[in-house]
Amino acid sequence: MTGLVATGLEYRYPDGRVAVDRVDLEVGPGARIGLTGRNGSGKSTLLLLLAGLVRPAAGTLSLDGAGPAVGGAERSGWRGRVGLVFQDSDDQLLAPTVRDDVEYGPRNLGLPADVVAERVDRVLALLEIADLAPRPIHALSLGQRRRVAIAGVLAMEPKVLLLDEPTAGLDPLGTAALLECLDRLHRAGTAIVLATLDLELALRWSDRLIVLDEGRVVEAGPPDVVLSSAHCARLMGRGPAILAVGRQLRAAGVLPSGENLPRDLDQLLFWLPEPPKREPRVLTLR
Amino acid sequence: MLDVDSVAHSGGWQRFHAAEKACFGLGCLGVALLAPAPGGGLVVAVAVLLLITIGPARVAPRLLLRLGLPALGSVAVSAIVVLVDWGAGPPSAAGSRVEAAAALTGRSTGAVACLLFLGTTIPIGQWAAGSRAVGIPDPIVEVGLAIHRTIVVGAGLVGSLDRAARARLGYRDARTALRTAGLVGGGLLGRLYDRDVRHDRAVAARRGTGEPPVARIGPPSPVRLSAAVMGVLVVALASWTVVR
Ligand SMILES: Nc1ncnc2c1ncn2[C@@H]1O[C@H](COP(=O)(O)OP(=O)(O)OP(=O)(O)O)[C@@H](O)[C@H]1O
Ligand SMILES: [Mg+2]
Repeated sequence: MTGLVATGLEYRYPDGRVAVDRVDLEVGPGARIGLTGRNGSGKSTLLLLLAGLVRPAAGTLSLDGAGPAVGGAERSGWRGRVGLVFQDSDDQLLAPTVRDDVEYGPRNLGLPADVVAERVDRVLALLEIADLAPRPIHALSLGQRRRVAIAGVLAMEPKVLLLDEPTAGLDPLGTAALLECLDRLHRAGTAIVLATLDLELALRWSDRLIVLDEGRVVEAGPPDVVLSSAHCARLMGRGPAILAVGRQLRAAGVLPSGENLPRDLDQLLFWLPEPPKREPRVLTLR
Repeated sequence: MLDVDSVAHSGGWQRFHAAEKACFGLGCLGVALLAPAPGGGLVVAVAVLLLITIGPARVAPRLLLRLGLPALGSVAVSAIVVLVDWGAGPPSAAGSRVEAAAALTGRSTGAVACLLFLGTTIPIGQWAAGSRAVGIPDPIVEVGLAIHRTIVVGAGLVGSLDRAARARLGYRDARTALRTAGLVGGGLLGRLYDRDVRHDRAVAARRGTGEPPVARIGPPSPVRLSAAVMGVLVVALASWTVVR
């Protein structure tokens, strides 16, 4: 079995709270999986489990058929191949300056200095933070620290990339740059799991969306289907406006019934009738 | 939050007054130290540990073991030091030393169990309020709270820094581990200070005094206080009779 496979994953915190409850998950090569659910539903804990950073109480994990070695996920190289961007960048940044921190992982991989330098320059440019390289971490803004944290993980070039709310605190162009960067990784075959509370992002970006509640997977499937489900609406509210508009267009016969619902603004605009030049017609949405 | 605090905060002992718990815990501590060793201390240990694991807190035995392990480790080391004659000749264990080491082990194990009881049942806020109530001067209580907070924040920071380092293969070999230890250690002090400043700001913004909140509970109940005393007496009786 290729890709990251989890079966029956379970985790409880020391106080006995079950944070992840019998989760099965398959992340094939190049997959784009969105993960959402209310605050406290277990997203971050699940990502920690997948990254091999906490040990599951039950269940198994494997990557391309091999599990993390018992007692030493590190030795088996699991963590070199599965990267995690933490929800709180402050938890992740270790080194005194930006460049030191981004170098940290690649250096630990034992790469030669010139390869490290080349990778660092590349990811710094990718996240548009090359100018921050010499700055001390503690003097950065929230969004800048987030970008450094992402860069530090990208520099390790993991096969599976896990991101915990990576767009929280990023400005709109920062978010766009990050998504572009994820697209590039996706095309290069990196599997990506992205936890987010931004349902528009989940709809637009993911190929498959998983909804967690109380540690369990309660919905999984194509994002437009999942986000249209009553169960998801109960947990997460009405969902992206684009979906609602798309459903209206379908009901009005504008969107052929075989067509998928539009997932971003461009797709939506494509189906919207061109407004007549002179007298603007108002499209009534109930 | 430290594991021991989180157990104290989430456990079923919350609804009891600190005085009741302290009465039982400290009483048993006295028994552990005074009862004939080593049996007495071991009886106390068993009784108290049973109470923690199957009593209202229901602390998982494995967690309890983890909490107690450092203390038990130092008990073991001390016992070995007492047991072995480190004099001029080759190290040896004489008969009287075996007895002394056993006594030490019994008493200390009982005492550790009592401290675990106090730690896992009385949250830090109740400690502070209780200490004030029995007349311990404010500055001492405040220093204690500050130390506690620093330990809590520091432990949390070390935990998250360590996890972050593991995520990026920080302990792959001796060289990277050394570098990581340096980064974690070096980062810790600055961050502790940083967090403290931010915490103070946040506390001030909410007009707090820095004291952890205490769950509001009534005065100690005479009935439960008597029950605690009875409990101590039962444990004491058991300790003294088992040894005979
Ligand atoms: N250190 C901890 N100790 C005890 N319980 C914890 C701890 N961390 C998280 N939890 C609990 O585990 C559950 C899952 O937490 P988790 O952080 O995985 O949620 P999440 O889905 O990432 O939430 P959010 O959207 O707020 O980031 C929650 O109920 C939380 O209270
Ligand atoms: Mg989270």
